[in-house]
Parts: sequence; C-alpha cells; structure tokens
Amino acid sequence: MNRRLSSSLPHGQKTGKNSFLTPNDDSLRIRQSIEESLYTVRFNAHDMHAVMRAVKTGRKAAPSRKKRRMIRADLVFTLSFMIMIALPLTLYVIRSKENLTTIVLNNNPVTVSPQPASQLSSNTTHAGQGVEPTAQPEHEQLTSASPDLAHSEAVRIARECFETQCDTTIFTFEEYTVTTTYNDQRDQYAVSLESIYDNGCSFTVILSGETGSVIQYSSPKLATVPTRINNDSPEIGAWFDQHGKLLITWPQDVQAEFSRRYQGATIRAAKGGELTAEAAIATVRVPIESNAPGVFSAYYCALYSERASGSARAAYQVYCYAQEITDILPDEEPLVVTLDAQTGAILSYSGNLPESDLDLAAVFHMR
Amino acid sequence: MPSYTQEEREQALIRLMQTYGDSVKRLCCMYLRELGAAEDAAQDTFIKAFSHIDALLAGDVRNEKAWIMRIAINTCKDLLRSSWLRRFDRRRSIDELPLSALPDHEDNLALMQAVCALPPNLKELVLLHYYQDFNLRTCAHILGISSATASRRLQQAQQKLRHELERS
Repeated sequence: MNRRLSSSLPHGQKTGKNSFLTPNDDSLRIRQSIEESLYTVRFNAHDMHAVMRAVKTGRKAAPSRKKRRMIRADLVFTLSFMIMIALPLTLYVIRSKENLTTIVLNNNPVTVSPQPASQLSSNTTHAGQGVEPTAQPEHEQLTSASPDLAHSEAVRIARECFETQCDTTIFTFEEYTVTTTYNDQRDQYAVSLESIYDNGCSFTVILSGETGSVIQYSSPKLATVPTRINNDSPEIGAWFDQHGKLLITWPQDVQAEFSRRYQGATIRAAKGGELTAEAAIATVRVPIESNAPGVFSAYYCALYSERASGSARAAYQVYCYAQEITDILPDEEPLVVTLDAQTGAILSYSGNLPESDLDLAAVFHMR
Repeated sequence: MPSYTQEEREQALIRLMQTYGDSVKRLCCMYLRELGAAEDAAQDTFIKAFSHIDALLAGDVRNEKAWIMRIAINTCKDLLRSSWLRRFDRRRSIDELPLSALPDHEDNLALMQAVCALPPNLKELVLLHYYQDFNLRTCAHILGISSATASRRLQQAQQKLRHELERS
C-alpha cells in the first residue's frame, strides 16, 4: 500500500518497504483513522440476506436519477468567454511560468523533495530469527554511520512495546513478519510488524538508534484489526473448501480461529463461565419447539466477541432455519436470536415464525 | 456470452459479498456519513452488481475490486442526489455518527472529521486512493475522470486536509 501512496504524498515524502516509514505519513494516518473508526462496520448476515432476498425476488436497486444535462452555452457566449477571460489568463500563466523558470535558472535550484534517507534493513519472519542486516546498494555510505543500537536489540525493544501496547490474546509477536529499517540521517530505527496471515494487521515502532528509547508507535488497534481479506488466496480458500461456504455452519473452534486470523477476532470460542454453543442453541430451541414445534429444524450459532459489538459483553447469535443449510443461504430469512453469553438471557431477536402468529416475546419471556 | 445457472450467479454474488462487503459498506459509510443510508447503499451495490454478474463470470471484468467500488461510488452519488438524503442534515459532527469505535488519538479524530468534511468529489478520491489502496490511474477509471484531473483533485484534497488540520 505504501509504495502506491508514495507517488502522491506532498513534499516529496516517500514511503515503501525500504524507505523510512513514520506514523506521521498522511496516507498511513488517513487509513488508520478510518480503520479505527469503522472496523466494527461490517457487511453482516442481515445485509447478505437482504441482498439475496432482493435478488431472488427480482427486486431492483433503487433507480438512479438521470443526470440533468447542463444547458449548453451558445457559440457567441463561448467565443466571448475565450476572448475576454480564458485567453488573457492563459497568456498570463505562460508569462508567469517563464519568469519562474528564469529565477530557477539564475539561482541554485531548490530541492523540493528530500533525498531518500540512507537505510539499513533486515527482515525476519519470526522474532529472534533475524537475518544479518544487509546494506542497500544505494546506501553504501552507511558504513560510516552505524547505529549504537544493534538490530536485534531494536527488535527486542519493539517486541516489548508490542507486548505492552497491543492485544496479545489475538496475535502473538511470532505471528508477524518483522522488518527493521535504520535511518542514519535521523539515527532512528523503524521496526515494522506485518501479520503473517496477509490480513493487513501491522504495527510500527520508531526508536532511537542511540538510546533505544521508543519515539513513536502506530495505533495498537491496527495490529489486531484486519484491514483486508483476500478470499481468493489459497490459504483462505482451503478453509472454505474444508468447512463449507457459510461460516455459521462451521464448528465453533474453527469459526473462532478463522475469525482470529482474518476478522479481528469478532467471533471467539466460549470461555469458562460462559454458555457453550450447545447450551446457547438449547436456550433458544427449547422454548421455540415447545411453542411452535416443527417450524425450525436447524440451528446454528456464533459467539460474537466484545470486539464485534464494541461493548463489554459477548453475545451469541443463534440462527434458526427450517432446514439444514449447506452452501447457499435459503430464501427465507432466519430467526436470529441474540443472547448474553454469560447469563443466557435473550437480548433481542429478529425475524418471525413463519405461518404462525405466535408472539416471540412471550415465547422468550421478554417484555 | 455463455449463459450461467442461477446457482452459479448466486455463488458468485455470495463470494463478492464475502470479499468486498465490509469494504463497500465502510466506503459507503464514509461517503454518506449515515449508517442507515450506507447499509442501503451497500446492499444496492450488490443488487446492481448481480444484474451484471454474467460479465464478471465471463471474465470480462478486469479489476473486480475496482468494478465493485465503481458501482458503490455511483450508488452513493445516486443516494446523495435523492430527495430524502438531501433533506437529511449531514452537517453532523463525527461524534454523532454511528461508529462504535472512534479513533484513539485526537489527531486521528481531527483527520477523520476533515476527510468527512471534504466535498464529495474530493472525498471519493481520498477514500479510493488512501483507504481502498487504488493507484491514481485506477481511481480515475473508477470515477470516470482523467488521470490528470484525479491528480489535481488529490492535491486539492491534500491541501484542504492540511488546512483543516492546521486550523483544528
């Protein structure tokens, strides 16, 4: 991403694998601020159902309004505009540029963009397995300015920073690829961590090459919040090939592991003191089957973590279908019941019982 | 063009939704600054995409992500032009947006506000280029403008963002 961004950064700032990336980069900051704000906004099962229902019933998307055509200016107006405004303006601009060129030619040219910083870089796939730093060919002058701090020490400090700041219950340090870059002009190290799951999770630590003190680090949230998921990758494809195309039909531990790696752990496994998946399903199934037997025969659930809702409570969502689902979502919308993972209390539900006027609120003893 | 079964089309749509659903919804959320409208726009995007899914299955779409984002942007534009959203007060502060996790740092919050406050033609470019990671040429293609215009607009957006950030 950063390589692409570099082309348009102002003031000649450059970013890239081998350049010195600081969290101050505009591009990184824009991405961070959006990701931090919107990571809980997801295209969820409800959205997918709405789309599938629309597709199956042949509903069209809201019609787009046709653009109103601008009234075409007549020829006389266009010509007068050209003669009176556009032509003098163009001449003025050309004249100004000539003046500017002269100034630059007569004086020393001003360097608009700084030269790229000299760097040392090393890559490690896992912590502690560092490859000896290799000088980039274009930065051979570095030999005269080696840092006081060793690369391995920089990685160790970055690891400490990561483990202090980031949620290590999601990813451990070993689940990142570590890239270390040294900038001899600033005497700073940038240690970048990128998730090995190709999900966009990253964490960057800038530290002093002299003292080893941490100068800055990127948002800890982005170390565990995936920004992309490549469903076409063989690795992710293997998950769907093995377990089916619909995540809610997967076993709980598989859902949790997939979500941890690729969805920011928005789904997790039950902890001690929380309902098991079977108990959660039973909490929903028992009252439904006693009040409306035979309506639903297939129940699936997922335990949405605190991270999914941004609140302090985890909740199960139990999906009730008339028949077992395999690879394709059925036409009818499921009854979705949300219940507290700890107490099993029904928090809400959506959908209704088909061909039944049963009051679900009464079924679930809700007010 | 070969004909495809309904099941093949639906499978392709499900894959599209699983792959780009989150990105599309977030883009719509930033563009429209209203979650309800963003939900509608994201769903409409995939409904529209389904009507052209044969082209996708036939391999006529070169850049799938650019294709879906183009549909999303156009859907958002249509929605913005619609009478309902024009009546909707969109000059709300970011705190009122239905975002459950606002940025930690004040700087990032200010930046987020600045991006939200950009005019639509600049904002769409910023979102595509910085957030969706498209290069300028692809952005220009998605928006139906020339690369030069895209470049100029990006500079304008950068200037505006800088100005807003300095002011805040």
